[in-house]
Amino acid sequence: MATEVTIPNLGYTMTVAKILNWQKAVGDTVENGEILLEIETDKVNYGIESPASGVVKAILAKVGDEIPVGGLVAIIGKPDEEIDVRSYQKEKKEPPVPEKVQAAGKKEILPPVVPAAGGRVFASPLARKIARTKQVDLSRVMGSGRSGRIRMADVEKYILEGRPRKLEPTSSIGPVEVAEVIPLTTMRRTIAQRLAQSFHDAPHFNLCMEVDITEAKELLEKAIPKKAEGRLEVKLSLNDLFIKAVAVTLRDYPLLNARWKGDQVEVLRDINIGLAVALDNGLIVPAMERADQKRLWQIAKERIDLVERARQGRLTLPELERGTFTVSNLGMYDITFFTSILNPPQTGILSIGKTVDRPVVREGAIVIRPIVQMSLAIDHRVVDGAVGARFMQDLKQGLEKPGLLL
Amino acid sequence: MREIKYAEALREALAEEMRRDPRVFVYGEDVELGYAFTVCKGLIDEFGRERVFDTPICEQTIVGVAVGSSMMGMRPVPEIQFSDLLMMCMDQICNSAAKLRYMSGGQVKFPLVVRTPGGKWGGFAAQHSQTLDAWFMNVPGLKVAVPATPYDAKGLLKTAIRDDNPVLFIERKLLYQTSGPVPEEEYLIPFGEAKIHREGKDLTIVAIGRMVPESLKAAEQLEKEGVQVTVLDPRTLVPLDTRAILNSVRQTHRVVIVEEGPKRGGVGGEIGAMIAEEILDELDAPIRRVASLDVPIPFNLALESHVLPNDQKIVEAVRDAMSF
Repeated sequence: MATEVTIPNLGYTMTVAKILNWQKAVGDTVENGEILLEIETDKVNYGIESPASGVVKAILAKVGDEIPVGGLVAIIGKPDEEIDVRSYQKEKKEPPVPEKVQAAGKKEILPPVVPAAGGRVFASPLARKIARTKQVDLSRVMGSGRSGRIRMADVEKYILEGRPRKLEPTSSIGPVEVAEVIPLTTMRRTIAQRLAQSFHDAPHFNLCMEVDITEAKELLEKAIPKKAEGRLEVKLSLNDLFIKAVAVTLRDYPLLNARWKGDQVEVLRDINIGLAVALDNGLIVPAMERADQKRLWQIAKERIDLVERARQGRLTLPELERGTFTVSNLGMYDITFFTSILNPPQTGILSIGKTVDRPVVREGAIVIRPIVQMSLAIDHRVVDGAVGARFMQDLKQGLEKPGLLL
Repeated sequence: MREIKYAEALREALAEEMRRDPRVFVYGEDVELGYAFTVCKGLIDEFGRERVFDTPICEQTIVGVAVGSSMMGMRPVPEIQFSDLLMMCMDQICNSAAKLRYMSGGQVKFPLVVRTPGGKWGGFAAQHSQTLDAWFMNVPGLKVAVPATPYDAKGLLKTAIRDDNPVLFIERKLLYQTSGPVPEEEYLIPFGEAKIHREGKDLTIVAIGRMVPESLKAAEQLEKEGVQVTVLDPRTLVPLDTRAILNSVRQTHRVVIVEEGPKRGGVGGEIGAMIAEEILDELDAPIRRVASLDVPIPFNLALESHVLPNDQKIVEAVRDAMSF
């Protein structure tokens, strides 16, 4: 069955996209996840991945054409499949379908938006020259310069070490048989590049603590009446309280709501809490705007919406770029304690484990209390240990006496 | 090899050329006593007031005399006491000296050398501290030399005096009392030949005049940080040794250009543009320029050092280019 390739919605303000170039021609074989074409929007250049494996059956837009969001640009089909391109071209002339209808009506899910990757590659003229003569695809080279800029040394290193083997499952290295070779998707490559850079560039340190959430749980139970209606009809989770507590506490710690910019630190006005959302094929971090100013039920509603749209690949670029601090929770996987790699260029990330009933000592007696273990990873270039520790102490107080947060 | 001062090296060049060629003579404000920077001191004892003499404080006359006398076959070497005062005689330099050989179809030669000191002297304020190299680089028909060491000062001045075209010879006040090796035997340095003071694989610093020793200081510090830089001095801005500059950048792939004059419309802009035009593909980082801020040079010493380039600013520019 033929699969349509359409222009994804990459941002609030985006209405059309200009075709920059086609990486494939009609008749070319294409793999699922391979870049088909590059488009230019008002904000970014972006590589559109093929939503299916097969053969490019038709290309319906020329380089330089401006195509509305949702507009059809190509059709992917099986090699022997007969496709009546004219029927598609007629359909293309119809006005673009509104986003919601489109999402409901289409079977394929648009690739999630990942900033930076697939966009313009920043490389020095010398790196470009070497890449040209050695036929290196610069989008596959990891840059070590400022903001991931590719320099001569990066291309040379890539040529020496990194040139990927031909993608054939039969290839074997030494005594170990390779069962499958998985080409990187744009998202995978972005995750790899950003996190490797973060882990390499930002000196991480972790601060860990236990939080007694007895009162927090009580508060949640009481917060929403059993017979709630209208806007209050929302299921609060502990996560919402964690988000609220982190956001409110961050107000007193501007340096934790800041980003590293090479020779300066930018303290950010808004507190936008990023939520790490696991996907089948990756990870994505949409951010909730000004979470410190939102009420608990608003946070819950927005969290549910962001997570759902993250899984559908329908997040917008601003939602992905506005985060100023990240929260990651692996409690649902029974993880009691873990640490995270910073989400660059942010300064802090809080890792939250599973709530476990544990024996603890209170006023000389052993009692059973719900305990959550948290760890805060910080970029030591920006913040020192004591500041992070005080933040954690305040966060703990806020969660153990949640009335303080309200 | 013996070491002498930059001012002494210039004096030796003048004396040697005056002995060699009776047509060479020096004059200007206070040259009989060797003021203000001692270059001409004592020349009057050997050559007398016929060939070493004071003039009124009138720069138009000083260069006007040079244009006229050189036209008639003499080889005048006038001194303008501060390069800031060249504004008084721009017409004589740029319209007369620089143009008349061309306009006469080559019938008349103008073998004159205008010597003048530029740059900082320390608290001499906006009208006595300027570095005007770039202005004269922009005048077709002039040659421009900016020596950075006693050795270069002597060798280049002798070449300038023997040149049949007008040469603007821009010295540096703060270099006059610096010492360096200068051979006793005679030598000449051809124009348009850069000098590489040290070689490093990571980055090329193109430095002019007093910025050469500042760049060498910066290079020492950078070496401790593991960054090896080449320091290249073009020595003459017209003609410019573009080949040496390009060859060096082809090896290092990064370049910082350092001059004492203002950045806007400066020598660094010219050299940088030339590099980008010729060998963009060799650059692994943006071209960086270190120069004076685009303001009049302040009288106040703290402000002055804030405005002018120095070794620390060079180190920072190199670090920036290396990390880009």
